Amino acid sequence: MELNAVTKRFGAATVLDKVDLAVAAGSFTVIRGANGSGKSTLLRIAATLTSPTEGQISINGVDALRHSADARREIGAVMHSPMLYSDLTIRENLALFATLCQLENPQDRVEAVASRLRLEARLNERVRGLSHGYRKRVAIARSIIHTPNLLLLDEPETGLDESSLEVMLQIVEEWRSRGRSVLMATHGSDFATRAPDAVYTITAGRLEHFESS
Amino acid sequence: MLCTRLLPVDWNTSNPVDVRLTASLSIIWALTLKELRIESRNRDVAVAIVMFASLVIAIFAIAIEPNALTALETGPGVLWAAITFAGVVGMTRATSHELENDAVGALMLAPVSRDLVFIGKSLGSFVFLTIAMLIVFVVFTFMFNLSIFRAEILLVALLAAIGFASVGTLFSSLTFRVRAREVLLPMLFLPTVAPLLFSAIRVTSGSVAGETWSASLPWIQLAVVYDVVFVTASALLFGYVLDD
Repeated sequence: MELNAVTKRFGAATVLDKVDLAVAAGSFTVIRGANGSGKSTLLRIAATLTSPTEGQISINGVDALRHSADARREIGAVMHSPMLYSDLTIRENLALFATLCQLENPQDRVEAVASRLRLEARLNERVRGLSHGYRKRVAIARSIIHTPNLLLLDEPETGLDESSLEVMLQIVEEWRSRGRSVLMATHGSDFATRAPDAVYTITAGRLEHFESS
Repeated sequence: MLCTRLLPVDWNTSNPVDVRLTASLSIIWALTLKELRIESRNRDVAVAIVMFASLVIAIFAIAIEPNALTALETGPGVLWAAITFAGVVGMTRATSHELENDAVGALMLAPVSRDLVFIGKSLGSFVFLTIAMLIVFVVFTFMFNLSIFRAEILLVALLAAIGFASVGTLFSSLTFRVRAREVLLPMLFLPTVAPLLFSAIRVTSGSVAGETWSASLPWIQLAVVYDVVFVTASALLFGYVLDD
């Protein structure tokens, strides 16, 4: 994924200021920053949820602004809110997304990701009755159901218990080992220190390269 | 190349137009089914529409005490005013499940074009509106003692439901993140559907007064043109309003 001179303004406020970022295939990239620094906006733009005011985004060679539906095939995202329908079950939420992704055998994919996130026993429960941690797990399951090449994680550790964090780390490792990429935003937890390939800091909308392994 | 990776059929051997059509229909069906499933569990929208419309009709019926003449004069206006205002209430309710947990984000993250999302959501609203309208028609027939189950009225009601559903879907999405959306939605929706409303009222009043089909035809044509223009425009604009 490449972001070139991406700027985002909300009225007079500049949230992102000419951000350049390249996430290489098979890499785990971390963006650290305080609350309100612009990291969530950056991830929302990368996920094509928000359009930048200026700049360009390409994902796996696809212009994400002109061909956003094609670009979204390459993206799985876990954002702050779980983005789940409360009155649907876990199975229905995942199956809906699998169908929208036009996956072969969506129910099989649902079973597979549910097993991966240890959700099998609760597949037929409505999201409304789930705890914050479980909702996060379902959001993670949805983000990987179509095996995207780029995984975008916005503070994924929030609300997750130790065992769920371990699963999350395994997914990150698996993505990296299979030549896929992970871009994670965090405000500085130890989750971010698990051997990323590159670390950036974002302050008042400006991105600075911090370190590479 | 990217599009072919996850499609359930082989693009090289199948007609690409057929593949795209099949894929689009399955997406639209999945989205419509989602709307129906959520509504069947809550019954928020249909109940809101039926209750509100029935109440308005009942209040007018008690106030007017319609006889054969006053029912003809006031009935069609009362019926469509009740349906329109109830429709606004229903649409406000219909957007609430998209806002909870920012669920609409899942649709925005999906690798599908926004116009398919629009069609799926509009179809769901269309089904609720049509069912609710039929129930309201029964209530109205009982309260005003006017038979409105006539072909031209049912046709214009169907056209009104299409227009209401598409314009309602667009404006309810536009007002998703607006704090005063309960106020803003009717302010945008009611003036926009006014031509459709005039058309529905004229066809209904003409039909119950015994006018022929040909007298209703210009108003039905107006409703058809309205639907073509506004469904197309709403589908085109939906992607922009969904983007925050």
